[in-house]
Amino acid sequence: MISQASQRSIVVISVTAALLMLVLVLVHSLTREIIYSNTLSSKKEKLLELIPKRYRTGDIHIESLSVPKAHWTSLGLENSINYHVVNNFGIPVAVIIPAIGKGYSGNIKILVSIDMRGSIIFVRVTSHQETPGLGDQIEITKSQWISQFSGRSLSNTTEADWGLISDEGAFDSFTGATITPRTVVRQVFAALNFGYTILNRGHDSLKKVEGMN
Amino acid sequence: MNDSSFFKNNKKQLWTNNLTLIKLMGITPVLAITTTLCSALALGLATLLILISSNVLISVLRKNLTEKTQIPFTILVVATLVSITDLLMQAFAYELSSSIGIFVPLIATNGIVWDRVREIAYHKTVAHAAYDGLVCGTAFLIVLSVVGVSRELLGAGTIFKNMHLIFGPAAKNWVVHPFSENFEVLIFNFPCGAFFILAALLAVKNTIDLYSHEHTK
Repeated sequence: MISQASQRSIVVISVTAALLMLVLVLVHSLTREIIYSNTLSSKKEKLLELIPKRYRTGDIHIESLSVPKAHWTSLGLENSINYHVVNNFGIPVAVIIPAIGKGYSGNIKILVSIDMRGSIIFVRVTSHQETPGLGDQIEITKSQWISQFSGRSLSNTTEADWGLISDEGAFDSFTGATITPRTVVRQVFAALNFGYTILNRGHDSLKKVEGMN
Repeated sequence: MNDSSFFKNNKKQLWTNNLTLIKLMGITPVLAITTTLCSALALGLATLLILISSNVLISVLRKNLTEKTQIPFTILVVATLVSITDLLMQAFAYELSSSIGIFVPLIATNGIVWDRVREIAYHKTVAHAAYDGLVCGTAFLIVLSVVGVSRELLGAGTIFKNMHLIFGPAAKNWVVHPFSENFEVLIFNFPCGAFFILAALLAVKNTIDLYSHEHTK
């Protein structure tokens, strides 16, 4: 026979659990929409950091399409990731291409924004595990190193130039790391190449690209 | 409770018996989340709220619970309160919640919350439990903030960075750079640096205690 005290605590626990569950459901349903839109706008904000103000004079709309499977290897992707087309007043002004490279200690994820003429606007590292104080100079907050890609395109930089100066390429390295900058240069080149295939297709057929994977 | 015992109790929880500095409770967030004062304050405040509310809720129902049902009931209450706090933060302070990430849900495992629930909430009146939650939460908040300020100053060379995440856009220009622009002692940006700060804090506390003890003799 269960004692009366135990019986009472079982009832109290059950009722409290039911009530707390109700509260939790209520809070969840009230906050779900807000959290969803928060996540979206934070993603959009992160992407817009790659697009300077002069490209966005008004109504900005970002179209996200998945990278076709044929390009996954060159971009270092292992699963479906989106690239983005940035539209200003409905006219595409830039594309943002993701790429992943093997760094000194783990993956380096980068985003490359390219304007409609095929020149790189910005390159930014979104996540990495490189050695603090050495390899982390690929971050824009730590060093200006990553700015050297701005303005580069396939027409002003030949394929042989897409390497570090120490590898007879055209890009500066930085002290204390070789693997990290080498990976970044290579993946920026891969992203730029993919950007060109998109740009050459023309914006109208971008949707067909999405259907291809 | 008369004034002097009221004060004594405060001093006990805030200083003499500070759970973080004496029993080293809840040091995971102290080591992990204190790179800026901003995130230290945010997590400290969230912990404070959860401490008070779980203490109150459990104290209200304490007479209806046998000893055997205390642990499942504590899990139920603390986990729900933590989930609610996490959802509300994601909804109304999104940037703040993404900067302290997983450590809000992890408040559910904070030793201080569990210690106070066991020691106070199941035995004392609602008012006492609420007050104890407030004092212990404040004690934890103070330790977090001290470590946070020190690490931000040494690791990033700033004070009051990112405060606008808590206090609104007006706080954006509170940030002070006491040193040169690129000042940074790298180790303090990592948990091992936080260990040194915490150790220094313990040493300072013990020295003061020792000194005042000798003088009262």
